[in-house]
Amino acid sequence: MNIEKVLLVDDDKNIRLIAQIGLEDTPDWIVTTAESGAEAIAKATADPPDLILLDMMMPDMDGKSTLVKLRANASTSHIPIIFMTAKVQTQELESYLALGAAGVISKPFDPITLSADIKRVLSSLPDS
Amino acid sequence: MKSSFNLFMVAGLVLMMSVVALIGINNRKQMEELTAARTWVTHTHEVISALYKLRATIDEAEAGQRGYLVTNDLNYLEPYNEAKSKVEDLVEHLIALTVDNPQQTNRFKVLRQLIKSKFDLLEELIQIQRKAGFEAARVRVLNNGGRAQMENIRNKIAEIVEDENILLRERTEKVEDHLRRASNQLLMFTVAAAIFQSILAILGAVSLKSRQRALAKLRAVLNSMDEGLIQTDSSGNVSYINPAAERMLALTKQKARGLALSEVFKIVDDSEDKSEPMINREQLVRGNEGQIINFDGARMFVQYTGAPINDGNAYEGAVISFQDITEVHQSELELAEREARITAIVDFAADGIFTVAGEGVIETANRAAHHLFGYSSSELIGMNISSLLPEFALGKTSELHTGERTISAGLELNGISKNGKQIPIELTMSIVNLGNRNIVTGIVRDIAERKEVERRVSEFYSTVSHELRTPLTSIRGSLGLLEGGRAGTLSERATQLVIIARLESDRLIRLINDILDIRKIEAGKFELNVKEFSPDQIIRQTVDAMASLISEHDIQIKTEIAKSLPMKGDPDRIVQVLTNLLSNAIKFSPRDSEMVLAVDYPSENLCRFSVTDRGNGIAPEHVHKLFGLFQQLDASDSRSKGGTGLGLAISKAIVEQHGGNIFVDTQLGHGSTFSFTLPVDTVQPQIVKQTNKQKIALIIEDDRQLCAILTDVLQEQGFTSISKHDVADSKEFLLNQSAPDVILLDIGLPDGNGFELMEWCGGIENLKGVPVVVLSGGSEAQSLGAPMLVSWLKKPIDSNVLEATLRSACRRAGVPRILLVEDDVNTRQVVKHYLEGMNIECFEAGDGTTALELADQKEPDLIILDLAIPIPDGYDVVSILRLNELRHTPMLVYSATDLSSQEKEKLTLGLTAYLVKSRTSESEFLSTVKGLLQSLISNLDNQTLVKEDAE
Repeated sequence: MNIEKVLLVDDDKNIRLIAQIGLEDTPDWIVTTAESGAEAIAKATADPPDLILLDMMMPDMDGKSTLVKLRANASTSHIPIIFMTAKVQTQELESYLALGAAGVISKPFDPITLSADIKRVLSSLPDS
Repeated sequence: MKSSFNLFMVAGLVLMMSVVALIGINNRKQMEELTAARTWVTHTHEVISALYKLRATIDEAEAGQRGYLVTNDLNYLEPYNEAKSKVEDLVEHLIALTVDNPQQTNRFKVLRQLIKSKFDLLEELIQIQRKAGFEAARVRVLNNGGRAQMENIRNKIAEIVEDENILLRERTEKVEDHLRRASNQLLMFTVAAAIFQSILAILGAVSLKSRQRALAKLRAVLNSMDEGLIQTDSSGNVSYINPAAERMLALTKQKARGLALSEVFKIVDDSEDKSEPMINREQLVRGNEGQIINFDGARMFVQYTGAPINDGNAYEGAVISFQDITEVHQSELELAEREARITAIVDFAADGIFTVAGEGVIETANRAAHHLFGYSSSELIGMNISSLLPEFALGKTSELHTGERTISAGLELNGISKNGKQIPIELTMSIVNLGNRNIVTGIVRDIAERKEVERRVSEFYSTVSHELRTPLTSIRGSLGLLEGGRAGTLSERATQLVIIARLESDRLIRLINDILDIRKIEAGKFELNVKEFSPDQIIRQTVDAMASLISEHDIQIKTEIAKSLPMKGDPDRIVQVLTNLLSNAIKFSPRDSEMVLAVDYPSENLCRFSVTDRGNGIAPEHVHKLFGLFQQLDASDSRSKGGTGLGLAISKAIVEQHGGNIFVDTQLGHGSTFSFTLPVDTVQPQIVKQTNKQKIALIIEDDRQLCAILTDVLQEQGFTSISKHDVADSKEFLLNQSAPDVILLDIGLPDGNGFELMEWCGGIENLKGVPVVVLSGGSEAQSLGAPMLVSWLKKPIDSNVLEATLRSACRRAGVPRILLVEDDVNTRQVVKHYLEGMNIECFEAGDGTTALELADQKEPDLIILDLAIPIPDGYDVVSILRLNELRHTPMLVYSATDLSSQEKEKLTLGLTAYLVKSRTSESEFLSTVKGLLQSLISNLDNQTLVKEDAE
């Protein structure tokens, strides 16, 4: 899977900044950010990224609804989505994967290993 | 002539006196026997009351112990300890009381043994709680048979009480018998004495000497009597009282003489007019009871008999005999008072308390029960418990009566109040054995508030967890970036400080995770994600995860795996336990030491993991604290090692959740071995609670028995039922509550006709669409034209037919609708061709999104699903459908390949069948489709699935 464009969605601007710095480890990736589910859908539809990092707990539209909407839209339905969530409990994890998420990275994440973690999730996908 | 007359007189006199004396003596004997019999009755009362006290004491002990186990609050142990100290004395006292009855004595010996085992168990649980915490105690409680033990004790006590009751009946009868006889004899005595006096009067002139002798004898008799005796003259003034009367009335006969009878024998019973109760000139008055006040001002209850003395037709006075029955009266009063007290306690209890007779009919109910369910006391009594507690089905109460089911304690379920509202309650049912019949008592507690608190606590934890993690993500992330040099090179000093901050935020994160785990354990919501795994895989993962810590401490790890049999459990959680044990071992061991990680099998189906270190070991006095919460043995030590103080407690919970145990074997100065066992292949995944919204069925039927049966059947169908028994009540309910999902309607109702009620419903906006199933005793289905009439069921009602009817009643009207989800146009054509012969409506979707939209709009009766469809794919479609109202829809998974059982599990909606495309014939496909549809709408006689022109 060839990744060029990454869309990072989180309502917390500090976390967006930290994740962005962490992702600088992989200079090939062009990282854009969105601070809400609605903005994420708009940006992803306008210019579909190759990967979406999606926060779960966001006001208005949470990660789950954002994912369902992205998956239901033909232009964004194929994009792998990785959840970044502070709610990691076994049952929840299973339900995220059942929704069609490519994987889950739990918060707090380590920005130093973030790129590597993402690559590991992607390499475990059956298609790659 | 004169001398022979005298002789005759003397002989008569002697004979007469002998009769009186005989009666007197016999009467005294009777009185003695009566007193003895009364003593026995009192004794039996004492035994019974001691037995109840014993049972109450054991209950108190158990309640106290439970309280402690659940709350860990030592205050609960106070009643327990008190009960414990009392119980042995009580049993000994009872044995002493029943020493006259060898059978009862033997029973008490058995009972004493039972009680001892019970207390041993209670004590053991307390020790477990104290040493190993609630979870261990809970597991032990589940396996200890304590309930059966308590049942044995209850039964044994009931057996003894039953015997004592029989004795009590016998003894009471005896007392009554004695009383009757004594009373008769007293009467005879009184009569005889009266006659005797008359004779004496006649003989007065005859023989003074013999008269004096006779009088002396009579006096002896009168003096020896236990009964008080009062004699009056014809004007009602007292002429004589005997010594017993002197004693009881606190009055000498000299003082009594000449006083009016009502002054001497002062009756203070205000309830009835008894101013001169004992003097009736014509006949005897006997067996009266009353309270008198004596000359000391003391009150006593007496039973008295009065007889007139008539000389020919002339009234000469009267004789009153009386006896003190204060004691008997007192014990009766005490009994009544005790009953009143218990009634008051029950009536003012905060929890609803009721008793249930056979078939679930409510016999008694306290105030709180009326209040909770909103019925008046007259309404509640006679109702069936199943209309209040539909989830507690009728069958179960009859089992209660036959003793097949013991008790249910703390059962959480929904009750239904009079206005149809659901009330979350906690139900405790138990059997009280009363002689030859069992009474089922129920205690219901309103737990709406508690439920709400639980929900809020759960929400609070979830929110707190998120709110804590969000800033921590920023802190931990920033520190990581600083440490990693992303913000420029730091001085050595700064790097050192940043590392400290990073390590501590890592610890904070672990602490939050651990607290959430503990919270789940305590809330009983700790669930395992059960999979198959092998022990060597666990060991490998653990060593990998700990690699950096291991090398940092220069630890040599030796692994000893006897064999590695596949087993079931939550591998991530087991790795968590082993990681925790290993990191403890590393942290508390000297550098450069050796550690052993081992797997062995102490028995055929038990696998044991162990971690052995060469550290300092743990002092024996600290061992019991190891697995408690926040129990660092040395707080400063633990903190410096980065622990949270929760790891071992969580490990213990994880192991126990798997059905295993955790142990420590340690020797100060020689190291420790922490080990845990897991049953091989016996772990059952926890069933996740279904949170389906329950559908409401309104049953309008005057036959309460039938209501109960219907409630039972409906419950199995996932309905909560509300029963109404007449038109007025039903209308009130329908007007004030949200519309039910289905109405089951009887036609013949006490205050009206079901059809009229149905027409009335048709005129109310939100009731128009509610399906109605008519329950009828008649044989003909009337044609009504009521739009909502769905089906007609004849009584007696077949539960299978009812089930099928209900399913179709709650389904949207019309021919069966099939949603065909398949992206390949050709396959769609083939399937449609298969379905051509059926009277159905088919909707097609080529991708997941369309499928979801159509499912939502059309509410299909069957979904035929291909898995490899464009996004969202078949798996996703199913997971989304599971989240909404369509989760019970029957489905046919029509896939290209075989599915594993795990995949099938993920692909289950309502009734689900799986067919593989390449291997399925047309007929097999059709019969599967029909099977899935038929089960849903089998009773719709007027709708056949197969078109008439089809083959």
